Amino acid sequence: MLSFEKSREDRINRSFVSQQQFAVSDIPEKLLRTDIAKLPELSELQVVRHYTRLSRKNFSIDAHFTHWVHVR
Amino acid sequence: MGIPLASGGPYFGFMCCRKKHVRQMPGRIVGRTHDDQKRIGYVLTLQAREQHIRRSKATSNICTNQGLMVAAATIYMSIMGGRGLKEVAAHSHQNAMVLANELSQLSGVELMFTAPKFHEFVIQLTTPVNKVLKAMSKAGIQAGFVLSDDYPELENCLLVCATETKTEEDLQRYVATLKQVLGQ
Repeated sequence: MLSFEKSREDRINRSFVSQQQFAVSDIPEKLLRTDIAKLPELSELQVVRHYTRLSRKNFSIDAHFTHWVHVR
Repeated sequence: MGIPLASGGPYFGFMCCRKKHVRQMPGRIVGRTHDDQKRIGYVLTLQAREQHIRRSKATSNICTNQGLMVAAATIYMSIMGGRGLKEVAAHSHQNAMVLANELSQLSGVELMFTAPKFHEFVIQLTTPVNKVLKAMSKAGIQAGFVLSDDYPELENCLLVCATETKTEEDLQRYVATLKQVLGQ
C-alpha cells in the first residue's frame, strides 16, 4: 500500500510541525505558492511502520534464497 | 529536505525539464503505469541509460548513497506533509529576515540587493571578508559563502543563510560575534 493511500487530510505531526505563524508578508503575493504541496499526511507512527515494512521487502543474500553460487 | 549540510556533501536536488528533453536527463526515471488487470504499478521507464547502452564503458551509475539521500528525504516529506513543509519555508524566511535586519544595523555591514528574498541574503563588509570568516569560524560559526571568488564585482560580499534549524539564540550569537569581530 502506498503512503499516499494511507493519507488523511489535515493530519499533522505536532512534534515536528508547530503550527506557529511566521511572517512572509514581505514576499510579494505573486511569488507565494497558493496551494499546499501534494504530500501524504500521515502520523509519525504510520511513517515509521511504512518505511520499516518497505525496508524488509528488500531482497538480500542474507535473508533469501538466491541463485548465487559461492566459488572458493 | 531532511538532508543536513555535511562539509559540502552528500546532498541532492530536483531536476525537471520539458518532455522533449527527457531523454537527455541523467539517471533513471520512474513512471506510473498499470498492468493488464488495471492495477497500478511503478516501473523504471526510459531505460536507455548510459549503464545499459554503453555497458562497461559507462562513466555514471546510481549508487547506494543517492538511494540513501532519497530515502531520507522521502521519509522527511512524509513526516512533515505539505503543511509542515510550508511552515519550514516560512520559518526559514522569517529567521533569515530577522538576521538580515539585525546585521544591517551594524556599522561596516551593508545589505545588498532589494529583490524579495527567501532564506538567503547578501551582505557587503567594509573589512576583508576572508579575515572575518576565519574569526567567525574560530567562534564555531560558519558565517556564509564568499561571493567575490565567483563574482569579482561583489567584493567582500558574503551570502548568508538562515533556516528553520536556527534558534533565536543562534541568530543573536551570530550578530554578537560579528559585532565583536568587526571591533564594535
